[in-house]
Amino acid sequence: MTKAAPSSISASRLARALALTAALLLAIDQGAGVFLDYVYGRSSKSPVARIAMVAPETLILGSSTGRTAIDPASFLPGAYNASENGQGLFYVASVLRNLPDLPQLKRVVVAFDPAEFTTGYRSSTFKQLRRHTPLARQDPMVRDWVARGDPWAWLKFRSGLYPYRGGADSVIEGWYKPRLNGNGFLPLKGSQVQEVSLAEDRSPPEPVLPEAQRALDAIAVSGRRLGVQLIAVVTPMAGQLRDRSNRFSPAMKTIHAAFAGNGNCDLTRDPDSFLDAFARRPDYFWEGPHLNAKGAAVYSRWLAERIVQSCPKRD
Amino acid sequence: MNVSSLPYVALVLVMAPLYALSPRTIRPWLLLLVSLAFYGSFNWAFLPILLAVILASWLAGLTLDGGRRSPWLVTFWLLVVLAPLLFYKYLLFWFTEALIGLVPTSGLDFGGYGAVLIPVGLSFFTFQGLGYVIDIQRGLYPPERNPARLALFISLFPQLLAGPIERYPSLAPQLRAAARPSPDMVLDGLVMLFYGLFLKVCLGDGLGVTVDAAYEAPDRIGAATALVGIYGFTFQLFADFAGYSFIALGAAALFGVRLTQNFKQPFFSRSIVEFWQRWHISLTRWIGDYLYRPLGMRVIGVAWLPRFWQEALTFFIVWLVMGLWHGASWTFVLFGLLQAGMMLAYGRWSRGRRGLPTLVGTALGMLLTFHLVVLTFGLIRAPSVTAYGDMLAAMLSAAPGPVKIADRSNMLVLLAIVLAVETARRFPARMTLGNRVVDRVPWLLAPAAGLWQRCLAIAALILLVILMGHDEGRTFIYFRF
Repeated sequence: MTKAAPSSISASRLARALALTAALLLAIDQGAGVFLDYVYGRSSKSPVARIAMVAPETLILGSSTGRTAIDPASFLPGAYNASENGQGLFYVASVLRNLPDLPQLKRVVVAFDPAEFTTGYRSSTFKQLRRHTPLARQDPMVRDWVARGDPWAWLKFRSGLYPYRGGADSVIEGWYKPRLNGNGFLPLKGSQVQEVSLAEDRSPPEPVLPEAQRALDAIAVSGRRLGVQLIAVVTPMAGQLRDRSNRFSPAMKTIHAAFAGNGNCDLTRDPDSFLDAFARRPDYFWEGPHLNAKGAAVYSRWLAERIVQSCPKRD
Repeated sequence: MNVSSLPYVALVLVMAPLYALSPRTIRPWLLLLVSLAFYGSFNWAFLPILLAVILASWLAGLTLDGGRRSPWLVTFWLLVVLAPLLFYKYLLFWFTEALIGLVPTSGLDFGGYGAVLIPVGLSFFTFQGLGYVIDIQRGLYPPERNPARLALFISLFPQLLAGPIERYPSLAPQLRAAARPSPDMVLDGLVMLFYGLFLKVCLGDGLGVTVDAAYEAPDRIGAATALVGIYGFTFQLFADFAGYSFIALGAAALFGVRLTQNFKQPFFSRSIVEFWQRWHISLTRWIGDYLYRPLGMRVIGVAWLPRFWQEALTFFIVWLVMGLWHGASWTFVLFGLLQAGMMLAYGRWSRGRRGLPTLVGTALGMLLTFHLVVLTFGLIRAPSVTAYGDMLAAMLSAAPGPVKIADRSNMLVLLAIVLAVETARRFPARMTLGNRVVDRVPWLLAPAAGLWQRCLAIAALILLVILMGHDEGRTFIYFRF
């Protein structure tokens, strides 16, 4: 056997040092993980902690379309908009699954994008759920989503630090300097939409994917656990009526099936054709799917009235 | 298998002890098996290409040995070894999609670079085989009779994908000896492996997000975004490629093999000539030995050409080849020609100047070299010469516009760490400051550093990789070439 080259350290000393380094690493990783879990539970970076800090009576959840469309100031009293840019169906399910019992919370308005039901894991919002990896620490369903396609996830999630990669600083900052973003609403000024005409949708119906159904079921189950009324809405889009779209008809039926009954409320359909006129108003939109502040005020008032009229309070 | 991924690190950390514990006669076979399986993990259809280059190099070595060195025969064998590279780099893009579908192509996603067809690592292992064949033809050493040994030399997995491009006399004896790594080597290997990972997944991949955004629409961005895009790319490229090279050096060291250091703090270079002695060193040396010097000798033979033009012609041909090696694109042609022009200009300027440069002169030289490098490296990233022009125009326009730097605070911390490490490595361990001789703290990558210092460095690097690394696993930029 060939002799090793002369070395300043012996093999046994190296082995001891590496074992000690590994033990130190493990201790730091697990210790820091416990600390960050504690901090995350109290940091405004966590949507769950943020909602608990605000303790709203009405919670709005969705993507940027929900964040820019529903202004709590023109909405129901005690409302908070916890929608997040780039997030969507899977985010709503993740947040509701991890939300603790909040006695004052009465209703959750979920702003759906029907397109997510037909794109599922391929949707752009699904990938962005990674921003909320810490939620996956305790929740196997969220972990299943966040770590999808990664055969090494079982090992990565044993690390205490891994869920916080790239974001530990903002988690800590949100702990000692919480930012609740006011009432969560994002007002957009002006309009980039020149003119709008309602286009007829002739595309064939697209089926609802199983992962979207699973997320929707998780939302419904979480609503029952929290004892809140779930209200489904689809926010307006310039020149399109998604609730009547042929392409999204299976998605709309699925949402209706999940939200009609059990004291929940489906407001995705618009019986008085308010949204017909709304979708033709370029001055209400910042661009395609995003309302500007003016449109948001009008839409929020209309939605609040509809909730009062159509969604009776639960006993 | 991505080199910056957890599976790769696991492969190295599991196979290295197995290698060290196995009998010496088994070790080269084990390493060869791992190397071929590693390459096959990208696409099993690539394996025949690698084996073809190995076989061609082996046969060429045997044929060109022993005085049979007719220029036609030499040219023939060089073309045989080069054939897959020439096919993929310069012929394939003329083919229709249907024909392209018939050959194995890279499915790697380079984000923002468009489709890349060349099998990963083809350039690098072809150059390694080619260097061996040319050396045999020059009679520098006898050919390798055992094809398995040559296969291991060409396919050694840590450096198979993007170098360093090794020479036969420095690598083959180490592979033949199949020695266990010393404890010092293991420790240095681990430090380099994790420093490389840190560079790649924390800094390189992090900067890539910002750079990609800037290059997405160069005609519609403000001055600040263009500035961040151009300068950011140079740091990204360094972190990406030097990161790969450190991973390669570290992984090889764990198998008892010392590879050529490919990067030596290039951004501290005082001139463009020095820069290319510090950046991608193994390629620069390869080109120097197999292209620049032979070509220079021939050009000197052209007596009617004045000395300056002889020099210029050599530089421009060599750098044109270097540019075209990156790809058949006008951006790479321009990149090569600009490097040649700068080197020629520096050669003229520095001729006749003697004496040590002053501190101010050194600092100015470093600053100027750095900025020239940054400006020309934009051509490697830009999808077209027009896009590169748009980036430069935007940068110089003073057009307002928000600058978006992804993960800004983390990026600044990481850049500061890398700058500190690279600065520490650039300057000698013992310096005279005023009347005192000061020993610099021997830190990262310094073999003189103590056991615990290096263990702490390893621990810190692993923690940084876990906490600040990017999970997306961007493909190494140089895998395109």
